[in-house]
Amino acid sequence: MKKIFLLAAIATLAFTTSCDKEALNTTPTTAVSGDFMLENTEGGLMALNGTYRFFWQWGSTTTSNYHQSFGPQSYALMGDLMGEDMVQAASGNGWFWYDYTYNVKSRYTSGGWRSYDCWNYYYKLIANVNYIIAAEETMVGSEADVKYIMGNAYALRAYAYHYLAMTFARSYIGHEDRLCVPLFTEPTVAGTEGKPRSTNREVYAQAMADINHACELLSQGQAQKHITHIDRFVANGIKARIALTMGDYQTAYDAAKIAISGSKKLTKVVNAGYNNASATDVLWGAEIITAQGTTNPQFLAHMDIAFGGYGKASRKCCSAWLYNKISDTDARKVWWNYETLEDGKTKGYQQYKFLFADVSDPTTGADHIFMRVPEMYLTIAECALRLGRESEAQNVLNEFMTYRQPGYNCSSKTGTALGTLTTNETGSLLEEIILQRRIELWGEYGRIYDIKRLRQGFERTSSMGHPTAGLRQDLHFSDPETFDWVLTIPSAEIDANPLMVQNPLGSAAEGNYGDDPSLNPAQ
Amino acid sequence: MKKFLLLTLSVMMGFTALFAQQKVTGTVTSSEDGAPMPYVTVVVTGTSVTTQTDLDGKYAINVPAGSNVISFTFVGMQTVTAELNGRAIVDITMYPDAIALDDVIVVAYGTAKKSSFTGSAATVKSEKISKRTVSNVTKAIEGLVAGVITTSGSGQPGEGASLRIRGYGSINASSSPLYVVDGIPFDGNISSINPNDIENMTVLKDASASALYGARGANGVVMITTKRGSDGKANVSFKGQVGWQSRSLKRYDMVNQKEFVELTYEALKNKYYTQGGYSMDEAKSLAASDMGKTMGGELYNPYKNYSWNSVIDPATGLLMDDAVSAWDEDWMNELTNQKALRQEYLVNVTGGNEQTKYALSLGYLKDQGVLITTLFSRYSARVNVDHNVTKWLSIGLNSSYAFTNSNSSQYSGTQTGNAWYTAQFMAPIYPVYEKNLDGTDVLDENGKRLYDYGMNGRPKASRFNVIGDLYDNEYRTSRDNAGVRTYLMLGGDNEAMGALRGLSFTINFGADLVNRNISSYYNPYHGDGTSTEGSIAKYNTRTFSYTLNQILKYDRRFEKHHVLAQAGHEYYNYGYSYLYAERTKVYPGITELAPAVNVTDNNSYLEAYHIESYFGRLAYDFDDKYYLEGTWRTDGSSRFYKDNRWGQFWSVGASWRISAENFMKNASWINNMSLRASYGSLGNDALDSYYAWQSFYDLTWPNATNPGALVSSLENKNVTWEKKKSWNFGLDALLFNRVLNLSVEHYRSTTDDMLLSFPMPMSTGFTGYNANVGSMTNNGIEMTATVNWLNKKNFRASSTVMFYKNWNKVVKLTDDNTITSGVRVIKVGMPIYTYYITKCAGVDPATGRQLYWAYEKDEEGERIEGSDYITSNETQATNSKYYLDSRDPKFQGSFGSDFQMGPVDFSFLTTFSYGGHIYESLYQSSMEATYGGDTWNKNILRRWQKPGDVTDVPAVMIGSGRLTNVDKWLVDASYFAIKSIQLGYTLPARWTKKANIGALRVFLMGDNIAMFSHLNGMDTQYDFTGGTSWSYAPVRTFSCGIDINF
Repeated sequence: MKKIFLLAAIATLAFTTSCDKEALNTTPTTAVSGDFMLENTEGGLMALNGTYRFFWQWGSTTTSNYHQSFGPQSYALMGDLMGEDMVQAASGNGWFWYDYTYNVKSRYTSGGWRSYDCWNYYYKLIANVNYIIAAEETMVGSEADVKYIMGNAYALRAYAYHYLAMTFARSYIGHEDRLCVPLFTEPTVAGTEGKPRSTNREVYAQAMADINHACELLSQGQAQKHITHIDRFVANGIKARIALTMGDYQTAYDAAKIAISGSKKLTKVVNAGYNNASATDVLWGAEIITAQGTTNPQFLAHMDIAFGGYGKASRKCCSAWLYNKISDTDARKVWWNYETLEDGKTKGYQQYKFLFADVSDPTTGADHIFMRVPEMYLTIAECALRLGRESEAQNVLNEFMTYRQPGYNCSSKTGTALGTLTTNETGSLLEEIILQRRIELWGEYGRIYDIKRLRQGFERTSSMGHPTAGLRQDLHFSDPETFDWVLTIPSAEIDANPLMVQNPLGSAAEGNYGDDPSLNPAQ
Repeated sequence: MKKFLLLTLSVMMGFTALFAQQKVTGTVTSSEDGAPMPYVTVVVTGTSVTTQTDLDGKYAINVPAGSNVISFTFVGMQTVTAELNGRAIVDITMYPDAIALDDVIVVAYGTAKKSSFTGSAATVKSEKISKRTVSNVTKAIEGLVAGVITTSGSGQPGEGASLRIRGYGSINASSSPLYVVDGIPFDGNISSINPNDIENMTVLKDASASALYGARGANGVVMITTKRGSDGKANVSFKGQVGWQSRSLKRYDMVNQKEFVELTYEALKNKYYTQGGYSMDEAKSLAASDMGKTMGGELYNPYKNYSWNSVIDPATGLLMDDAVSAWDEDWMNELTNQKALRQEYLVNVTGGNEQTKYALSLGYLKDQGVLITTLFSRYSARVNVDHNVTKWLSIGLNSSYAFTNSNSSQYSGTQTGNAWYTAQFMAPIYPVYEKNLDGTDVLDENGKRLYDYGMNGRPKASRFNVIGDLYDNEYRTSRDNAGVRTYLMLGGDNEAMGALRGLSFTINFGADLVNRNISSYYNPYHGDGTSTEGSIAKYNTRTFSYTLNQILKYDRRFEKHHVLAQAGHEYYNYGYSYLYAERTKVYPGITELAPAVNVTDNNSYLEAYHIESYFGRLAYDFDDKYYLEGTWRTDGSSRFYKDNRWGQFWSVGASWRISAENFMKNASWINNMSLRASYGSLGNDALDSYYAWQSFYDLTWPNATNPGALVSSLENKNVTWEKKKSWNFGLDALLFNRVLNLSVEHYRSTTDDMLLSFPMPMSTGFTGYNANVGSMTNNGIEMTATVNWLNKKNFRASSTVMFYKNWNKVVKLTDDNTITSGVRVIKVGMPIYTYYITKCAGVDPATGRQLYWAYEKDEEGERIEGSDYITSNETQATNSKYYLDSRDPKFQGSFGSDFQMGPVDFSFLTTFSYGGHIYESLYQSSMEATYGGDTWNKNILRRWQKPGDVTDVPAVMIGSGRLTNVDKWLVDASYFAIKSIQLGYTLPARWTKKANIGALRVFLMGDNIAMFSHLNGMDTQYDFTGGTSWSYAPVRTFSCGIDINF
């Protein structure tokens, strides 16, 4: 009897162990299936917000060197450091130093440097918005919300292709039919194959088409749901940037006009540290709340000397040449000054433009800023001039400068002549507009993108304050045709994409032009 | 038994011959332990003359005239016959009977006799494990099992080594073997197992052996069996061991202070001359004036009688003759614990009777690392009990608990805080301790030296002092490890079962629980914590897995026939939970969250993984001569989509004991010989994701207060099991009167549907997706030979040599023929991880520039043979990569010996590997300095210096921008290592008996004693793909200890 009880008990134990079919269906707790995320506008907004978080989240695009990769604002700083107006006084911990000293192109085999970082960043952004765009017809929700989400997505794609082109190809003007980057507009699936590089003309056409579509979708007056989002005004700001790069000055002019037609206005406040995305003149930025804030791996940590760390170990300074161009009555002169070092010596033109709101708590008061109203004024001025409307250009610049320098008047300047080098001054009005642009957008736009678009060369000298390592007299900064500022394509792309053509590693192409479409294996 | 022998003895005495013509004497010893054998029956063949050996194994017998042969018999031992040929003294060694000799080995879901086993397995017994001083048993396997390769493993105390059995099982899925502890797959931490608790480790190498672990058996299985009790008197033993540790890997040969300063000057000069377009004289003066800035100011100038800009003689480029250095401090020495102590104590009690057997062990280990502040300690307890309740019901419980605590460094790779990186490449001019401008030490109010955190301009690792930070920061991991293995068995091979004899039903349940707490603290004053005024993070993870199976078994012997049938069901459940919280602005010195001010991060998540399985086995053998076995298993894994979830795995095997055949009877030099063959199919589902097929939006991307999600993976519903089919052929032989024990095996395996994150162009927004992409083969041979070349009573010696070789080849890739990743390539027709890299062609003697090989390509983009040319154009060079060797060695092996001379025993083990290359990125970074203040390897002294110099090292520069991925950094991976040496002395029994001690042995041992390789400093066994990293150097231990059996 006992035996039977025991056997029964054991048999029960043995067979109560689950053969439950559901037990083998497991799902994670940090993610949800891609299938239903984009079914409705609620999910669509989540996907959109994820991409905006990606606009300032550090360390998600490289396999090392995370502290210099925090989205667009790091690429703006990179772009400035590649020009002549910003001096990086020392290598410090090495962050941005390799951008500054033009020592990144040969590092394309590594997952830790700019080639990989920038390529990965923009294409990840594109892949994410391509999914959203693909759901345009099926997304459930109010029409206004669907249009809002799609408008944002198209604008982001335009933004990404524009910056990819400015980073990995030579200037649009003069190289319209040279190789740019591959175009992807469909959602990626497992097994999506690599594509050959399209030409500048094709890539910019796509960016233009996308931004036009975005402007249309956002033209219904939908309010910005969050400061990071793109509304009608920001979309037009992006459009103005693209058109300006292409030399399509009328389009740029019109778009910039719309961009400043909203509630964001010029302000005379220039000493608030540029750390607040809600400031009067900020069109587009990222609000970073304390819980999502960080310490070292962010823009201001690299800039603010009072924070210690990177900003102190490798001071970001204004070139003496540019500093000396700034009128003493210009309110912006406070953005730079002598820094007194510990040994009592002084160092020229340490920046004070970008500062933490509270240097003792870097997790807050450190918003990212992507676009400000002054950029649009300067674009309008430049385009008006290019379109032959010289007095309008003078007026726009004068109007803007009333917020900066009392009594400023550029009415005596005319013409669009620019020097071969940025230091070969012509005294033209265009040069003056660009000069104000260089001063106003220092540290936030990416000077090299303008140098490329203006088809100028530049020089760095010790007297400007550049350390010897930054002089790089062996390179060809003076030649607008150079490949020095055309980034190499990461080997991870080349390895997986037989259709990819690498840019020349050196300053100039030897034997061929590197971006010649005839090199394209697809041809 | 003894009673029976005594009885026999007394009866035999009566027949002792009274007349004799020749007296023969001698000693009989056992081959197993060399001990004298009492009560052995000695008979003069063909007569009734007989005697027995006495308690010391001695005998004396009178051999009648005309007789020339005497024989020795003993239960369980082979009968020995000896021809006298006039000898008066005949010493004999007796060997266990062939069948009795047969080891019982642990196999999947049971045990098997070694001779009946059709698969391939190797057992490492506790005696071998105890010869290594290891805190983690995975480090004891190297060199003991043919076909198993291991990494050296981190020197961090408690860390283990990685194992690969018979080549690479997989590309992206795990290639690690499955660990099974006491019959149940183990998910705990191997470091929680006290190596002294291990009775044996069996490595299952082929399909026949591991197919019953189908789902997870493809990479082989390591079966760990802990010590269990046995019949008889309780046995109490104590072991104590104390050792001292140092690094076993030589250091890299780096330049000295003088050389460094001269090289920096030269590097600056070269930069101006070759890149800056200056004349040589201008370059010299610019370099001199740059010295101070590059080095970090006069504070860091050790030559106080010169300033930086005058310390180099411009005429010679050398340091001024009369420059006197104020300090020469060595960072690596400073961070090494010169007295790292390792202590281990163990108490073991075993015993039992026919009904109940038990084993209990308690252990304590405290293992200090050679990196200051690092530590591993373990408190372990284990109880094994087996009990026969009735003749048809037995139960058992095996439970263990271990508390481990480790202090380590939280840094790795090129993080500035990583002591192994920063100290290795810190230029020799930088002092560890803060200096005054005159070169003297800065002292605090107590007269103690202060660490230099580089706050005053040191260009390298400013804010950090990796030595000070080791003291001021904390990274502590503590684990509670609990394990339970329990069974309940009904029935068995027992007469009480009547007609059901041989039938049994068993329920096994095993679970492993690991609670892990990590505490990470960065001090607010220096290093990474400065920007946040310190930070403190706590991680709490819990891993819980259990396996429950039910097995029905029929195991019965009928005369010469033996039949075994087994069927079972199993469910495996793995769960992992993670909780994390971080705050900044700490209260200095308190390593808890409570007093820290800012809550900065917190997170939690769960992972789940389940497998459901059914399996069976059929085996038959006849007359201990012919053996057949077949197994089958099906697994459903939660890692795959439901349509592709179930995998079928199986094996067949046969073995033939050829020496038992009549036609072999005449070959008396063959003591035993068997042939084995097996074939089978295995599976592997171990992708790094538990949710491999699914596409996901990662929800951890909120944008301020708005929830946000980013795409994180691509869907591939087709992703399914990686399958491995393998053949195994084996020959085992015991030859020449048991002097030579030989085992030779050959295997051929093919892995199909290899799991891989298939690379996608980054422009698609993804770097890859999980897919089954191709096939590869691993073929190999393994040879183990043991020579028992001396087997005398007080002098025994044996040597074992192992050779093994694996040929790996990728045979198929879908879509494309090549998958390139970094400097390695996966290409059809070549070994996996073949190097694909730019080839250097020396240095241009005129300019000191690096030259490369380049070639023309055909329309397919392939190299045109013979079109190679030398160029300095880097674009062409990077487009002309060459397929060069891989990490795979040409052969590997080990050699070891054991000696016993009276009370003294001695043993050693060495390992070797020949061929293959390592891509030495550490060497690379010390030959191509990236930053001012990075030091150089001594080989830089071969550099090009002036036109006409012929060398392979180009002009020295800082941040030269030269191509980094070139074949110059491929270093021959061959090595020879002395793994262990042990010397023991067993006190004479007459002394220990008085103290009531069964046996007492004292020993000295050395572990990881020396490593000889092609480049000092290189860790040839850092990983399996031929990489290196800035990691904790492997450790050498010298220790002494005592073993007491009461």
